[in-house]
Amino acid sequence: MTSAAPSLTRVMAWLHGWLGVVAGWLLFAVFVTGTLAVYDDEIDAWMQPERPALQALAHPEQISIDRIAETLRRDLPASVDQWIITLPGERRDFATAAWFTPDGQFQLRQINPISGDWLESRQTAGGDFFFRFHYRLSMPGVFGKALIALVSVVMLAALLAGIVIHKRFFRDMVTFRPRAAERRVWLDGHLLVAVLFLPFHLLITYSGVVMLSDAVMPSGVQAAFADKGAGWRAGWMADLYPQGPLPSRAALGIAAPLVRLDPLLAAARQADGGRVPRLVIIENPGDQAALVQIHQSWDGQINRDPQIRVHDGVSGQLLTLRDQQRGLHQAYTVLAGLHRMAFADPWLRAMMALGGLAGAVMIASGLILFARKTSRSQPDGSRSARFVARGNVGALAGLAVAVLAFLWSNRLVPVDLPARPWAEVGIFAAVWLLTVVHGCVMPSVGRAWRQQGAVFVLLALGLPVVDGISRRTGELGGELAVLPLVAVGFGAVVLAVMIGWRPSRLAVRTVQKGSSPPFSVTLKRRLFVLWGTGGTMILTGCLSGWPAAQGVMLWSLVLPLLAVVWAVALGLWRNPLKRGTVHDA
Amino acid sequence: MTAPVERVAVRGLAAVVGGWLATSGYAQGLAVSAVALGAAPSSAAMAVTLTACLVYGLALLWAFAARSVWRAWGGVLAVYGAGLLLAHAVPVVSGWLEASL
Repeated sequence: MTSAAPSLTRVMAWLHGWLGVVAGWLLFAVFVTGTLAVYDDEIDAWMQPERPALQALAHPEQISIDRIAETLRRDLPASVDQWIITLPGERRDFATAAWFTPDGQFQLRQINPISGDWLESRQTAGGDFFFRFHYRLSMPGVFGKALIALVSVVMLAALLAGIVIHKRFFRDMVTFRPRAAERRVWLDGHLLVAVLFLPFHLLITYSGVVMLSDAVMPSGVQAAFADKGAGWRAGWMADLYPQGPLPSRAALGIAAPLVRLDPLLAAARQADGGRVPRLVIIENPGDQAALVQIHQSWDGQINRDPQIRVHDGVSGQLLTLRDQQRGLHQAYTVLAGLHRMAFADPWLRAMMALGGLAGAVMIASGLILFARKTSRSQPDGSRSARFVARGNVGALAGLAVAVLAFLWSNRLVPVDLPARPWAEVGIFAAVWLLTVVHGCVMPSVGRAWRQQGAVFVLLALGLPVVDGISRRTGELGGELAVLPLVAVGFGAVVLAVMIGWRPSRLAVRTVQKGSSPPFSVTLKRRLFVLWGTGGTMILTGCLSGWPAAQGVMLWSLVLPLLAVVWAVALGLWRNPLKRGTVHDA
Repeated sequence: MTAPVERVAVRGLAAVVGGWLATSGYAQGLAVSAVALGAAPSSAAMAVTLTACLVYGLALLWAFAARSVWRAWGGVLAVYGAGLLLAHAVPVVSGWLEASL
C-alpha cells in the first residue's frame, strides 16, 4: 500500500465494503429495532391487552393529578422524596407514576389518570425493549451506547465512502432489473434503496450519533465546564437556559399539606392552548419545602424543549416559568426531535418506518452482495466470504425470527411469572443465538436460509392465531389486530419469495430484447400467495373489529408497499432506461 | 484493492483509537477556545456535540485513504496535538489580549 497507491475511488470502494461488513450485522439490528421502536407505544398496547382503553385525552378536564397524588401518598413509603407523573399523550391514554425507592431502585407503574387507581396488567418488556436495544443494546452503563455510537460513525463513514464511489445517482433511482443475473439484482436493490433514501439515512445516522456523543465523547463538554470539576454535567444543564437552573430545595422535615394540584394543571393547560401537560414532578411531597414542576406537552413539536412551570408545593405560588434554550442547543433538540419523530402524525411515522426498513434492506443487501462478490472474486473459497455468508443467516434472518419469538413469548409466558420481562428478553436472546449457531453449523448456507425463512413464516402466520387463543373476553380491539396483521403481511411476502424464488432461478441468465416474462407455475403460486395474504388480512381484520382508524392508516401505506414488492417480484416493474438485453458478468 | 492483514489492522487501529483521539483533541480545542473567546459554555459544548462525529467519520476515512500507515497515524495524531495546543494556547492568548487592551 506504500507504493503504486490505488485511486481514491478504489480505496473508498474497498473501505465501503469492509466498513459495511464490520458494522453491518449490528447496524441491521439497530435499524430493525429502531423501525419497531417507531411504534413502541402501539407494541406496548398489544403486549398488555388487559389494559383498558381510557380515552383520557377526549375529556382532559377529567384528568386529576390530585387523585393520582392521593394514591401515591397512600401507597408509597413516606421516605420517597420525588414523584414523577407522566400524563397521557396522543399515543398513550394512561398515566405512569415513577419514583426511586430509598435504596435507589427505580420503580414505574401505570395509573388511571381519571380515577387515580393503579392499572393492573401483565409485566412485559414491551415495545420499550426495542427502543432500549436500538440505542444501547438494552445494556446498562455506557458500553452499549459506545458500541452503537461507534457503528453509527462507521455507518456515517460508509455512507460518505459510498457517495464518493457513486457515479450515477439519478440513473440508479430508477434502475432495478429483477431478471438480470443474481448479483446484479442484489446490487440494483442495494443502490436503489441507498440512493432513494440517502437523505433520510444521512439525517438519521448523523442525528443518532449526535444524540449519543455526549455519552461517549464527553471531553469537549468537560473542557467547556472545566471549572465545574466533577459537576460538569450539572453545570451544563444549568447553563443551557438563560434563566438559570430550576429551583431545588432540600426537605425541611416539617410536615405540610400539598397544594391542590388540579387548579395548577388547569392553569398550565389554559396557558398552552388547552393541551394537557405531559409531565408533573413533585419534590418533597408533604414537606414544607415541596415543589411542583409542570412540563408542557411535547406532542406535535419537533423541538422537545417544553416550557416548565415551577410552583411552591404548599402555597401554589408560581416560582419560575422556564423556556427558551440557548440557540445552539435548540439545534440539538431539533435534531433529536427529528430522530425520535415523536411529533409526527401517523402518516409521517409510517414514512419514517418505511425509511428504517429501507435502511435495513440496504444493509442486508450490501452484506449479501459482499459475501457473493467476495466468493466470486476468490473462487477457491475465501474464509472471509464464508464467514460473512454464514454470519448473514443468523444476523439477518435470525433477528427477524427472534423478534417474532419475542412477540410469541408475550402470549405464551405465564402472566404471573416473576421477572416476566426478563423471560421475554431471554427468549429473544436465546432464539437469536440459536439462529446464529444454526447458520454457522449447517452444511449448506442456502438450506440454513430456507429453514430459518420457514420458521419465520410459521411464527408470522401463527401470530394472529396465538394472539386470538390467548386473549380473554373483553380484550379484543381493532387497534390490537394491527400488529399480527403486519406480521402476517411480512410472513406472506417471505413465503412468496420462498415458493417462487427457487435456487434454480438464481442462475446467471439474460433477458432478450422484446421478450415477455413467462406466465409460469411459479407465477401462479405467487398470485395465489398474494390473494391469500389479502384474504387473510381482510378476514382477520373483520373478525377482530378492523378497520379501525389506526389500521387503515397503517395499511394504506403497507399495502402499496406490498404492491411494489409484488410488482418487482413479478417483473412488472421494468427499468425504463434498460429495456433491452441485460448484461452481467 | 488488497492489503496485507497486518496493515489493515494497523489502519483499523488508527481509525478507531486514533480517530477517537483526534476527535477528543478537536473537542477540547474547540470547546476551550470558544469559551475563551466569549461563547457560553453550553453553546461551546453543543458546537462540539454537533460536529465531533463528523470529525470522527473523516478521521476514519483518512486512516484508510492515507498513502501510508505512517501518514494515517500522523494525521490523526496531528489533529489531536493541534486540539490540545489550541486548548492551552487560546486561553493564554485571549487573556493576554484582554490585559493588553
